[in-house]
Amino acid sequence: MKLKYLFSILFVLSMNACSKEFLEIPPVDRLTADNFYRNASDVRAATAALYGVPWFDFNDKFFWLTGDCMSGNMYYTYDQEGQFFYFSFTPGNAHLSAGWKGIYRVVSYANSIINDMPRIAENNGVSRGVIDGAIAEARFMRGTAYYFIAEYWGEAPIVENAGALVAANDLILPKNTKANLYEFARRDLAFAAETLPASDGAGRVTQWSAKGMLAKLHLTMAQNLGDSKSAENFAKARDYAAKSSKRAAFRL
Amino acid sequence: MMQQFTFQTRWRLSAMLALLCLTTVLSAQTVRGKVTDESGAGLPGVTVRVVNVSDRGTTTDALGAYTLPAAVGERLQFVYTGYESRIMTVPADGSPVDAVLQPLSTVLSETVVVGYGTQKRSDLTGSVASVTGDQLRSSVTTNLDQALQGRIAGVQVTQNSGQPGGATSIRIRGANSITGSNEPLYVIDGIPFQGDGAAVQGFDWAGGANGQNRVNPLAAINPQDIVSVEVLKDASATAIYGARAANGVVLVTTRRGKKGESKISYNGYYGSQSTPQTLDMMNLQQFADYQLQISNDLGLQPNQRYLDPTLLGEGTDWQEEIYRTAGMANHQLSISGGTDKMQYAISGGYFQQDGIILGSSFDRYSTRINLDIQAKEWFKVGGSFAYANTGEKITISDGGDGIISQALMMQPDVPVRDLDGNYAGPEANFSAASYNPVATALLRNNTLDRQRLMGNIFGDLRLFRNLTFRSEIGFDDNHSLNKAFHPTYKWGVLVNTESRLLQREESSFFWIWKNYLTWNVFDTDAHKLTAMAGQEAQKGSWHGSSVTKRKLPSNDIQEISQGETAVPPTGWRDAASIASYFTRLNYSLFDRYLFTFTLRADGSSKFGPENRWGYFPSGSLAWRIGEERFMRGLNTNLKLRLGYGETGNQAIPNYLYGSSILTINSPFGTAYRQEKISNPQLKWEATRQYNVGVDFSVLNGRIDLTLDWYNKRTSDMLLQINVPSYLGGSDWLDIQSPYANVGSLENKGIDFSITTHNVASRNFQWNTNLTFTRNRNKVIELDKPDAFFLRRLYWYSEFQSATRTVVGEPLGQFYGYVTEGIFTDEADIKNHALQVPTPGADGKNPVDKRTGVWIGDIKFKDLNGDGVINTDDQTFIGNPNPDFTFGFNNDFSYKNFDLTVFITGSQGADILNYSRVLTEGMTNVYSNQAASVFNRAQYRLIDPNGSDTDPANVVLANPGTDIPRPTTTDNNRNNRMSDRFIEDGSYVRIQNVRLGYALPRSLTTRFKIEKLRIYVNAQNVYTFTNYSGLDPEIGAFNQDPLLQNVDMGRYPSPRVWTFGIDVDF
Repeated sequence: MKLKYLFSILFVLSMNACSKEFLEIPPVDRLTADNFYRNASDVRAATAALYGVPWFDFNDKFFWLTGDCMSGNMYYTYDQEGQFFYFSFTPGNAHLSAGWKGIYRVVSYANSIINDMPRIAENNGVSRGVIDGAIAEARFMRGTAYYFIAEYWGEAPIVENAGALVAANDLILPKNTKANLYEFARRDLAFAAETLPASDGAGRVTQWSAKGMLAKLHLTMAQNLGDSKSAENFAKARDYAAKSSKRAAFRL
Repeated sequence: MMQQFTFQTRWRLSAMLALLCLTTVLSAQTVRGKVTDESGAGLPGVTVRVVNVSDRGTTTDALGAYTLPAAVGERLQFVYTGYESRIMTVPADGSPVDAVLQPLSTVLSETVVVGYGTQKRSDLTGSVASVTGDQLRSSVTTNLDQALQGRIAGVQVTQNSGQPGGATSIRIRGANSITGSNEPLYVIDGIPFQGDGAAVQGFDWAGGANGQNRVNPLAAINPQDIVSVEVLKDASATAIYGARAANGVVLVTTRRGKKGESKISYNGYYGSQSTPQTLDMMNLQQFADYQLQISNDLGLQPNQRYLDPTLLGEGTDWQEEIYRTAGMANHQLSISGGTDKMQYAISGGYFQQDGIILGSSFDRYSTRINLDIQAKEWFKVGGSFAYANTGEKITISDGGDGIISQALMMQPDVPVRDLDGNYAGPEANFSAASYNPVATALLRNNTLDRQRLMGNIFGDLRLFRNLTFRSEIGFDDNHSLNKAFHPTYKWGVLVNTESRLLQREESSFFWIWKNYLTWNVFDTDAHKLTAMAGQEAQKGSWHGSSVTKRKLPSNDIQEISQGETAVPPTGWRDAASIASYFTRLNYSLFDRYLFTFTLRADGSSKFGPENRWGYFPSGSLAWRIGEERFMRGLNTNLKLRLGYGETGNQAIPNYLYGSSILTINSPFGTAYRQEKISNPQLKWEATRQYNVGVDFSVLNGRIDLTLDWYNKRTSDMLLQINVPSYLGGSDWLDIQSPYANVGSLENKGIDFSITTHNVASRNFQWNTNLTFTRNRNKVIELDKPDAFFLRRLYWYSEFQSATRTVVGEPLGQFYGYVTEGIFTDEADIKNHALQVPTPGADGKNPVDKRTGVWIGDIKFKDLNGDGVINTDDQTFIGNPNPDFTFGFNNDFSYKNFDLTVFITGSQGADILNYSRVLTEGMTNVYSNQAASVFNRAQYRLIDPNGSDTDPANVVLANPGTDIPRPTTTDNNRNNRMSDRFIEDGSYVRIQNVRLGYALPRSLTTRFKIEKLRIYVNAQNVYTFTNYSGLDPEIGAFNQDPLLQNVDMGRYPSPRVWTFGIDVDF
């Protein structure tokens, strides 16, 4: 009969045996966000994705259609592209939506790094310096993207974390004012200017890239917002521009 | 009423007896005795007779006493409605023969498996339906799920394919999910698994369209081993299975040994299957005639060989070539028995079935051992072990490339084989793009070999008099090998020079360990309380690999050792786990007021850390009004049930909450990005269900009625949502939208079953059972009010949005244009809304035989009245969900004969008959067509000498036809998705007729045979329907709830004749 009690003890023990790990089954046959970012080179490979591919749809046609075509520097009158030359485009224009989707794609690429990478990389023991550098790289891209969004659309939603919005079922975002878009871009670029290294591999952004963009941003703000901070912005634009252009490496 | 009946019978029998006594044999003495029920009360009106002597019998009097002349050693049979009949032998000592009759076990006292325990049916508060193994075996089926069709109210079973081993769709009270599974959870002797069909590689990997590639998940379960199936329908019954129970639970119990002498049984049958019908296609003469006509219509050069159709014969009947009379055989040997301490059941079976279409077959070898051992007075152990090996050959059915469609479209002047004996095909210039279907069926192999070992061991430990502990460990080990081969061939002008072989191997291992305590807290006359609580852990892991080779040197050696790599080999490995705690309380007050409460907590690895645990409560109560004092004496059993519960659905792919990492190219080499936005809050789909039920039984169970009404709402549906483009996108460059819990849908309905024992006399019994299922399904909410789900048939077909699912409508409705007849003349075309993208100079339809709309084209209805027929003029044109389905079974037995007639039916479901697009669409002018195409739109020239391209000179000769003109360009898109192809799929089918005869025992006992029964069975005997296709039972394409009742050349269910024998030693 003692056996019976042994069994009952076993039973009670087994009730507690379901530890948390038992339910933790990340995929083992492919890379996932949760098992990626194992080391510095993973983190760098993730930020490498911010260059090139995500910018494609914005750059491919929209950039020159809204820039060169609309300014009259370029003569192109064919089909949907031509609508920019003639200023006759409507919301249905394919290049207009490609540009809009394209620039927010840059935002989404950057956000996926800013939001998910630090937690995972930190758990994997990646150094804080590498993590911050990568965040800064992503925020440079996001700040630059919002700069363009402010420039081309004036007012638009700001998305910092799409996953959280989806989880909260908060999908329809209000438009932010142009001043807010500039300010959002400024914070991203300022963080990048402080955090990015002074030099990096060829093609990678550095703190000088950020400062250059900040000069451009402040100049634009001073001119476009026309608010009380205009003079301050002009001064900042001058300072950032001077800092960058006086460096031997960037001298024109 | 009852008393009158028995009185009359008694009077008549007594009179008869008085006469017959004269002829009674001398050795007969007068036997007396009393017949009582369990409680000792005398049963009046019980029929007592001497076995195998038809002229000696009597009935008991008001106190249950009887007298009857019978000799020592003769056997007396006691028969009474609502009770088990009983046979007793007249003893030599002349003592009275008293019989105690037990109530029929099929009614209220029957124990029902409810998951983690059993209950008496009379104590149930939820909706649980049972089918016995004998009922299941009265249908001849490959797998268990098919046999459930029409047997259980509230369960809609459709066979998705008539192919041996094809998957079935089971909807217990409707479909609950849009993207997740809708198949129930099966629990076989305590081992759970999800009812989704296993996917095989199919056919599209080697080019062309795919057929159905889901095969039956129950293939390894031998239906002959099953002793009962319980279906848990409402949430108060299923909630004990928590996060996996939303689609209902099917509990399968296999036969276990019983104490007593060993029983050896053999069950076997042979069957012959054939297709119930073929379609009426053109023979060669008709085809030649048709070709001449349309060549003339279309201005094409006619094929010289068709010029004089009278010289031609019948040609090849391709349907006859692909269908065959196919055999099937089943052999099952089982031995069961046991002592007080140990009971066993051992069985072995072999089942083989050829498909009625060439190149398809199924076979199964199965064994099973079930053991129960009373090791100690306080400790019982037992186990079940079952191994099965199944082999399947799958033929390509369903779809334009399917054998059935190809056989319909193949020209009748192409022979199966050419003069050299090689497979023939269409010739150049006049070719229909049809593959020789006989060659395709035989050479495009797709085989699946599976092994499955399932086992469990349990221990029941009685800790105290009223407290037991059970621990159970089970496992389920699966291996499968799927090989698909695409040979090189030259069938006429159709040539394939590169063979391909795909081999896919998969293994999985599942284990489950459950522990629970059952405590009978009280058991008094007034109060009964039973509590059950336990814990369970389970984990399944699987891995597999797939290799594709090409250019194999020979079509005969189909192994991956041959040829060169076509696609880099790939593999996968994954696992999923669930940890659970559960409890159930059953309380009964005065045996009249019954309460059940259950709660289950499930933690699942499928969900993100933030929502890993789900809690699934249920509560139900029942009132046995029949037991109330004021109802006593009415001899009725009336029970009201009321229940509510919450259950979940977690049958989704792993790791949907997270994101994979994809590689992309960057200026700095390979870069990585996330595939989609993660949603760590992802959780199960939740279903809340209310159930109100009545169980009603009168006249000692002569009439049994169970009626249930339910309303269930599934919310938090798992959908990959459409987010605004600033949040994510669906472009391949985009980080994709996440999966989220949004949307809800509703199912409500009624199901009932009535069982009546119409006649229960000495020699003749007649029982009837009717089940009725009615379910209404509606989408309540999606992620956006205007969101929709489309299902298309093929990428190249005109059926890109064949079904559309939106808020406020049922799942998977057909969506397309409404037709308004056929254009009769030029004015008719001009006056109608613009049907083509480019209008003529006058802004109206351009009337032109080749480049515009023409007389004989289909007129589509301008639903929004804007004068243009475009996508805005599409609407819902059919609903594939039936209004109701039913099953109607009659069992007759007369002396040693028994007859079963089983009818099933479905009312009000529409079918999209895509096959008619192929057989009546004239999409390819060289394809064979249905004979009905002779009634297509024909022209009459007003001026016989005038031009046939002048719109003013051409009118429709046969107004009223619904088949348009043939055209090579089809500017008008006559074959677009429209109500032209929607048909009523209602049917009533004589599913089974079985006649059996049990040989008299006096004859068989000489050979030590306890029972010998032979039977003949006809299945799928006849179908009453207006549906023009082969079979109105279509099912869901690969179990997809959004692609139901689409007939793309579905493999028809065979008509089966079987002859069988059951022997017990």
